[in-house]
Amino acid sequence: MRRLLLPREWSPLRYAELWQDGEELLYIHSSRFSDRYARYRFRDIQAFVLTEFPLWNSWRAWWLGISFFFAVVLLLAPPGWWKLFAIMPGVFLLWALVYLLRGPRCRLVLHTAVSTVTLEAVCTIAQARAVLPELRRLTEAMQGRLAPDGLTVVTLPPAPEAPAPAHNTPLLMHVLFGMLVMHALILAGFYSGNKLDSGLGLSGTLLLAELVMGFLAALRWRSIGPLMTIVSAMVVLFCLADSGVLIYSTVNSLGGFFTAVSQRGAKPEDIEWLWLKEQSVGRAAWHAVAGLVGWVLLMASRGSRP
Amino acid sequence: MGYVVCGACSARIPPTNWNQEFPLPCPMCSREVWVTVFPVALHPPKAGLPEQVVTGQEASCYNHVNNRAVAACDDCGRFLCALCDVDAVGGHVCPACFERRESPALHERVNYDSIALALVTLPMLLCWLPVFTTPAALFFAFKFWNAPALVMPRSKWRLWLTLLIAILQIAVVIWFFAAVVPGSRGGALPKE
Repeated sequence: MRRLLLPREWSPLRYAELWQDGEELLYIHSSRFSDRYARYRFRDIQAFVLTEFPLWNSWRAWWLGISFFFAVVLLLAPPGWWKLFAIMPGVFLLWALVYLLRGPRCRLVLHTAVSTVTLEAVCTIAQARAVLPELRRLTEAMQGRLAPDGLTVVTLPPAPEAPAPAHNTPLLMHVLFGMLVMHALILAGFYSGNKLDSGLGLSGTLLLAELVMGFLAALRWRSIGPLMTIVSAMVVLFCLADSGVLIYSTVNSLGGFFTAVSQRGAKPEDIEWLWLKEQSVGRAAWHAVAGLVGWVLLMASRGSRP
Repeated sequence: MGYVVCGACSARIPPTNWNQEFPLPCPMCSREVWVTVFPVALHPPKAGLPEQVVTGQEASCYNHVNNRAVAACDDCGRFLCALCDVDAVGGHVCPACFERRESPALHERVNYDSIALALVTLPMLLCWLPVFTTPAALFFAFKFWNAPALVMPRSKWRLWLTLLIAILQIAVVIWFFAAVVPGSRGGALPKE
């Protein structure tokens, strides 16, 4: 019986997984184009060493600084079509947001008699807190427990049956649904201020971020369960359709604007955006509904978990 | 195992910090380190010494003719003494078969489906490259369509997507050479 001990540690260029495969720990490390497997019997594991790292270090501070620089540029930008370039700070900010929300990092090292391996499937302290007690339980069930004096072996009763794998709800889902609701509120703010054209760049950026996050969430279908996978896939589909509408209207609007510029020297504030009010209202509506429904389903699935 | 080290500075963690209920600071770098040591680290299992062959009727080890055989290799069937008996998962194997089992081909897998998908998608950033990479992607897709899974099952969605994109790219190239190129030549001809 193979059991995933921890949701996949994912990045665009690699991933790592920890599985319990009977009396063995199965560690999978992939560079996307090749997978490497390693098995460690629980009775051979000598030690786990968890080293905690602070959230901040110098290069991460630089990287976050760059993202916030782009965000400031976006906020200070005058109204006009070039705000469409807000995609860049959006990507940086999404990256920074996910990084900050995942919390402080750690390194988990496994020792056996013949090898010392860094388990890259465990990168954050939250992940370590989730998986280390289970690894200890499985190993102690095979070997007994070593008392803190380092000499006495405490024999443990037989380990109970492994619990059924519970569906995990990663922080990513909360961030995704929160972003949907926040997007709806921002659009409502622009609507009430009668500055819908100023919000188009930010809206496009948020749409891209939601698309990426929905896609990442759907990729975790094994850990988040079928319901959240369907919701994530629906968010991705809506984002794609909405992005299509936004791109179509933008291209048409800017095409007309450039024609006007070439003919009579129009200014950026003269742009007549296609379907501006309709698409903004529709966008706000589906974001609000999707965010709230997603959150309700998320809470309902948490409550029904054994 | 005589010692464990900090994952950040490689300083030795004193045994007084082992198996505590909470992480303790490293004596060198002061980072929080949580060490969990298990009994096998301090009380390793002792390997049994091989017994000598006493009578000519007893089976002896393939590698050590004077040692009494205690098991047969599950892979090659050779008799093994206590020294040569490698306790593999689910049985006994000789050192040679153990080496063969542990060869890289058995614990490493190349994902040709991912390679094919990358070959058919990434070159689209440079519009002329798919002319060369699409055939390579199709080659990988067809050659490794039925490649067996090693440990974890792997679905075929990447291969299907590769085929779909490759067919679309081929269609675009055919359309380009059939419709656009002759049209541009025709448009360049001088009017009579």
